[in-house]
Amino acid sequence: MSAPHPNQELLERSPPAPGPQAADGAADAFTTSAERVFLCASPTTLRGAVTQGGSIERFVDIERLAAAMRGQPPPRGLIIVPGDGVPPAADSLSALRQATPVGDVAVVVVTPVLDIAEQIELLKLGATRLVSPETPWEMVAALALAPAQRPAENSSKVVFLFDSDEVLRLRIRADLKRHGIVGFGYEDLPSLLSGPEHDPDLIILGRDGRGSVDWDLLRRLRQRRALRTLPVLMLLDGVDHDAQALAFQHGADDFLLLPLATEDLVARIGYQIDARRAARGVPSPAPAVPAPAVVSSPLPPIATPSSSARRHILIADDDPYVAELLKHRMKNEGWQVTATRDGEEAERLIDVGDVDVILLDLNLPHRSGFDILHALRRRSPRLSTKLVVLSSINREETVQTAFSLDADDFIPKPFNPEMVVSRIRRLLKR
Amino acid sequence: MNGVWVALSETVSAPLYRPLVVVIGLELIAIQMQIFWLLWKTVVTRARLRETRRFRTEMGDPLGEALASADPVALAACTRRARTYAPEAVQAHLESLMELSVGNTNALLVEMYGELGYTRAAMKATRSWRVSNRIRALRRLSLVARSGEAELLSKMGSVHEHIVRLLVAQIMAKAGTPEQLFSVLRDLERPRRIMDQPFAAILATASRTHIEFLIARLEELADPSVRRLVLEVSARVTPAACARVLPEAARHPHKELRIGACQAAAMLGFPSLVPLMTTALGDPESEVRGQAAKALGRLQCEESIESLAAALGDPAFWVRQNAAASLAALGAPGHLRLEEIARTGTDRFAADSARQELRRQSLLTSGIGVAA
Repeated sequence: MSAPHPNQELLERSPPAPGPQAADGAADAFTTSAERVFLCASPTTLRGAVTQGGSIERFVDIERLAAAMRGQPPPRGLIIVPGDGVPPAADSLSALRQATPVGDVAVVVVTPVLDIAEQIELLKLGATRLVSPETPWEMVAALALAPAQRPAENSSKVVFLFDSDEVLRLRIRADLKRHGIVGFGYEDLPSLLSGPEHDPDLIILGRDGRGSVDWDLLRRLRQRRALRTLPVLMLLDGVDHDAQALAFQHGADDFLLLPLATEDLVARIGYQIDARRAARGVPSPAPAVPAPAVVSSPLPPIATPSSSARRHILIADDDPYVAELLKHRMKNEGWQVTATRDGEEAERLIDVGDVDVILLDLNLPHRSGFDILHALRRRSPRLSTKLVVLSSINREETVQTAFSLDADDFIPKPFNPEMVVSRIRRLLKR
Repeated sequence: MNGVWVALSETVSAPLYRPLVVVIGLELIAIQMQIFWLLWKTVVTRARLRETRRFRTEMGDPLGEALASADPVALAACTRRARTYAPEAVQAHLESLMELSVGNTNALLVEMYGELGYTRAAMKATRSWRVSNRIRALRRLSLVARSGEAELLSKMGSVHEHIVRLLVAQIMAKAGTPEQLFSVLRDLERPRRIMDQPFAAILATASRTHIEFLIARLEELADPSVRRLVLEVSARVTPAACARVLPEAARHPHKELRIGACQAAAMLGFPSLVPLMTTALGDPESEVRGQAAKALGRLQCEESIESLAAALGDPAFWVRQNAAASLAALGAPGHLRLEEIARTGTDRFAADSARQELRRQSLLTSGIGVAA
């Protein structure tokens, strides 16, 4: 259950150059930079660096480093080299975290190759990069000066993935890794159920060895106390509509469709994990995409729907057949349905308030779906109404943009009306 | 008056003017016929729209309720009532609903469409001597065809026009067996690059089983561009099958396959593919080199830094641009290398590409000190 070191390729390439000589190199690496970096390492490691000067400041223990962090403007990055007086990486990071907030500072920890659980632990404790002692100091310096690609919440996302296709597992793990999410792949049920000690934030269930979806596995997972409340995403064939309908009935939270779109994968995983954390009172990270530029004049706050009232669904789509397919199903659920084919009219209806879920098409006359999403995002207080984008433009960047603008779901057209209702039902339960 | 008529008759009967008068007369008749035809079409279209609106107003709610409840009795009643309306109106309404829906609702609509006899009529129209009729019928069938229709249509694949065969392939991807899809695609050509999109759309609707079958018989597909598209889709749908054929595709004599291998490698994202892509950077075709450079950025391995740095001096602008973007995508070490080339590079092309990329990055991200 060990994964390659994050800098495995680097380690294989770099000549071993540990010790005081390395520190000399460190000083050289920093003398050309106008940025300050704090280095916390043993006096032996520091000996060479002390004589070289430059924009590096050296500390022989975490207490002094923390004191400097509190008393001075924050440096661009921190380098921690545990050993010989400096506690192990996890203890050092814990001590630093207790003493002072690290903020946006990049934290590079120089440590021998660790197993994946230890890596996750260090990332959770605030490390941004883990490098081996053999890494050239120029590289360590570059990492300390690079923007901190924390954000802590993102890097600590752990996903378990079950599918019999090993290459598919590898591909998804590579996609997740690129977005700072740690993925563990499992081939069969026993290995998933007897998984490692650390808790996953989400589970993706794919096909078993026979190439079919194992619904029983989902049931058994839900029976395990530790995994009962975990978001479960099913990995399904894009053309298997029956399986998609069954997914919700069997308790899945969402599904991913093959062929896989990376942005959709990451967005859906991120959404589910953030929603679970919010429900458990764990703060969510800041949105990945900055607030959009001003689109129109500020809008007033809107009325928020009361939970006891009859649920009100607004369908904003220029195609009248969408409402025709959905409104009767929604009425059967006891929901009140309003349909509009115009963007401005949709916005007016949202302003009036009392809408629980907005089913929003992106191509609307007068005001596009994205315009409406932008406007809603800028409201204060933030909208409690659930936003579901329903669009035929299901390109990766469209899905990504919709999720980054706080859409709660993205449903591509053509859609399964039962599925739309199931998704809305789940959103309303949150 | 009589004199005028006589003069006119004399003029018309003159040998020089007679043909001219005949031509003018025929043109007047043609213009009149066109006006009549346009008026007739307008009347027919308006009548059809009126009928469609009437059907929607009167039948929209009952049909919506019947579909929502999936009640067979209510659906049978709707089918009976639908027969009393103009077939075009009913057909248009059902097709609009089918285009938007999948799953059980779609299945009920397809059943109703079939019971009203429209599927049978469309199948009959696929044998029409007019291509436009066949195309219209196949578009309809792409919404409603099931295995039975696919079986009959698979025989059309090899005998008709390209667009017809493309539509048949679309139906096979959705309703046919993997063998039927393969038999249609085997001899199908992608005439121009602009046709990539319809092919990709067709393959995107195929299941894993279909794509696995196509990958297994990749060499038998006649057009290398179609093979490339299959390879690309397989990287997303069946990565294992794709990974098996990737090394061979990367060495294929046809450049389309080599381009496909690079695109698939980028999609798969495995670091183990770095050597394959590094080799592709030395391909004689600039399109292959460009795609390989792009793929190396996606593979995120620092060991490709030097190969990408060398590609910055490529004679093709697109390769240099992709190599620079891929170096930037490799994070801090890639940035360092770009800065170094921008500062000290002796190759003017390489230094310019590095500078452009660094400038682009500095615009994208704030707070990174880059040499412009």
